[in-house]
Amino acid sequence: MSRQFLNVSVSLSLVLSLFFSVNAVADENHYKNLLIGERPAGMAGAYTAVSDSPEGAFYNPAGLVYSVGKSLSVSVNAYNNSRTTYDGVVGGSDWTRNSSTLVPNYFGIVQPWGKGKIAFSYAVPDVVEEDQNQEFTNFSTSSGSIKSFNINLSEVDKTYKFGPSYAQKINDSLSIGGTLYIHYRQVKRIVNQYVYYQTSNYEWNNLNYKSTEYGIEPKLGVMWSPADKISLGLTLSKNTIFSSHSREQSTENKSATPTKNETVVRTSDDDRKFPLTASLGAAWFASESFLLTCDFDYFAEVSSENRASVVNFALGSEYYSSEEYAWRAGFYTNMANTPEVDSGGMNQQDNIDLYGITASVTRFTRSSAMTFGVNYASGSGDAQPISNSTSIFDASTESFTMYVSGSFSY
Amino acid sequence: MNSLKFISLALALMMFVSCAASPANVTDDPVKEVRKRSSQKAMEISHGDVEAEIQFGRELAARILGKYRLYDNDTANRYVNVIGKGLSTFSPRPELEFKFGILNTDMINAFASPGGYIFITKGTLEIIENEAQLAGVLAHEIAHITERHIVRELDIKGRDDSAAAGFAAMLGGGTSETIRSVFTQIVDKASKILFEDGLKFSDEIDSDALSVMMISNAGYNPLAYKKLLEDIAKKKGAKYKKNKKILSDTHPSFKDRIKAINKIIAEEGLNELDYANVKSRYKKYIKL
Repeated sequence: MSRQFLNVSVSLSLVLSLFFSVNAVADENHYKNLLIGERPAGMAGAYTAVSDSPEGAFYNPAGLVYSVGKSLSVSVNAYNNSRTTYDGVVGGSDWTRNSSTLVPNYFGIVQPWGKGKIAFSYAVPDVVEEDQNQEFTNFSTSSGSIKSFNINLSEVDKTYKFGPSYAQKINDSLSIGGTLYIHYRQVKRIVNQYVYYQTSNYEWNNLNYKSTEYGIEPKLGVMWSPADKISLGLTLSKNTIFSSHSREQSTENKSATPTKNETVVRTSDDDRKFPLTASLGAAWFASESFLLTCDFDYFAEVSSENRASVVNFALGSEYYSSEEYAWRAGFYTNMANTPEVDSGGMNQQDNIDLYGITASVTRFTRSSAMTFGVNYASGSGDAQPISNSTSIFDASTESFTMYVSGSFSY
Repeated sequence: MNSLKFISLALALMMFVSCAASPANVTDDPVKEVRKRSSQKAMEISHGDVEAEIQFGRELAARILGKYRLYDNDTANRYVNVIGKGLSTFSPRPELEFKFGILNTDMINAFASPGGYIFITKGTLEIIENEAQLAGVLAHEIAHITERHIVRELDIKGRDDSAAAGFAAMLGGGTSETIRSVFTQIVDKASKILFEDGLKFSDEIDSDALSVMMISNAGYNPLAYKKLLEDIAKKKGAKYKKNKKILSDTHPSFKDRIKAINKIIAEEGLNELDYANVKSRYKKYIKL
């Protein structure tokens, strides 16, 4: 049983093609879902050529050698709300999926160690928490007139990464570093869909899906300063899953002839494949008050997962209005890693390119800093939210993240 | 919101941030300093900072005395203390009590530990010809302390007990235990600066300039310190090569230092001063 099948389908065997294919909201279809870190998140994640703080473990471990003097720890707590709307899916009504979650999405600590710096970090780069009920009433489909259609959805999908990092200078202008992340993802999804016809017949589908996976993601980074005030960074990484297990239990019940009452359990141990990722960044340290930085992130194609190659761009800036306040702003793209939605196809993944803006402000005290930031991303594209249907619908996604973080040096 | 609106808004934000960074803020930081941010500047020095500096300096002084023993000569040590304490009255750090000692080693060097602990080696005293030169060396070390060179390099400061700092520390994971655990590491790093890496070029050049100014303010011949550096530079042979090693490894070249001193002497018109060298008193008290 392929894992792809488990991921896509909810009720492929039902006669009615109304039922939605309930996939993850935005996690698997994009690579840049939750921006990580105190400083980087305010600069749209354009941090590969900066990385001189505990967040460097995630963006470019080579930059850790430039973290200032002594030990530093940082912790970020983020609230994210994302919403995907499928236009006119049910009798002209929109179907909306909404995810809200409050998550500590980064903790990192860096210290001098021998001739270099050692760090440990924990990141949650992707999280979805859905808990919603929606009802559509009195509409018609090719299968008949429907009095009500209810969909109840509960989902928790979290990806964690944690592990050590080490960085060392090669010379005054060149450093290298590495991070070895343990990857852990856990998905729990319960979907209940109930269709009640004007004829008093009904169809019901219940899905219970669980999945866990473990992997390892080494990150190798290089940081080079070819000239005063200029820094270039390169990070290569690849996530490799070494253990995974999925279980889907689907129950279908249909009152009309031929009636159906069936429970199917499907399992899979197939490991997801991830792309080789290369991030190239450049930063201009114009002064101790102003920084401009940009990143290009390349994600290779993964044909076995039906994932297209993706290039994302991020541009960020940081300005210190005084020794006590820093302001940051940025722009980034978060392109869909799915193929274009082709007419005639069925059960295709959403294809929605996202564009985001970020802003944050940090208040510094003598040995600590506190940051408040917001990120907003939006985009539109095509989707096929209905199972086993060739219909293509317009879809749009909005994502808003608000975060508070604290860093402490000692 | 479509893509065009997004890009427009983002560019407007970027423009705002870019315009806010005025050219006046652009500095000529060397490569190693480029990454320093405004927030990493030393803020106003508090009482807690001074206490931390003294506590740290005491630990570092103990490390120095662990490496080199004090020279057992009360007369010489007392004399160096009298000269040093006299000079320290010209320093801008009245909150510090300076203490001076002679290290029993042939190495040619002197060391400054934060908080006011200064050591000069017996090997240096053997080369020094007069009190003005001794004052020059001690003033150079006093300048390292008053300008907080090691303190700034290692960002040593007292605890911040403000509410904002406490909240940020709670979010950031800092505790008093972690503070204690890194203290020893910082002392290690300071030892490495003193004995292996040296301070920044600019810190040494600045200390030389301040030394010349300090000894002239105290009534000593301002050229005496330069003469001492020239004499040390001229010392040849295996013995001096060995004894000058740490000094050479941890300081700019004598050529650069003398050039910078000549500049300050010319700028301040110190060539014209006919101040004392005080050779006889030096010879009276420094008998090695």
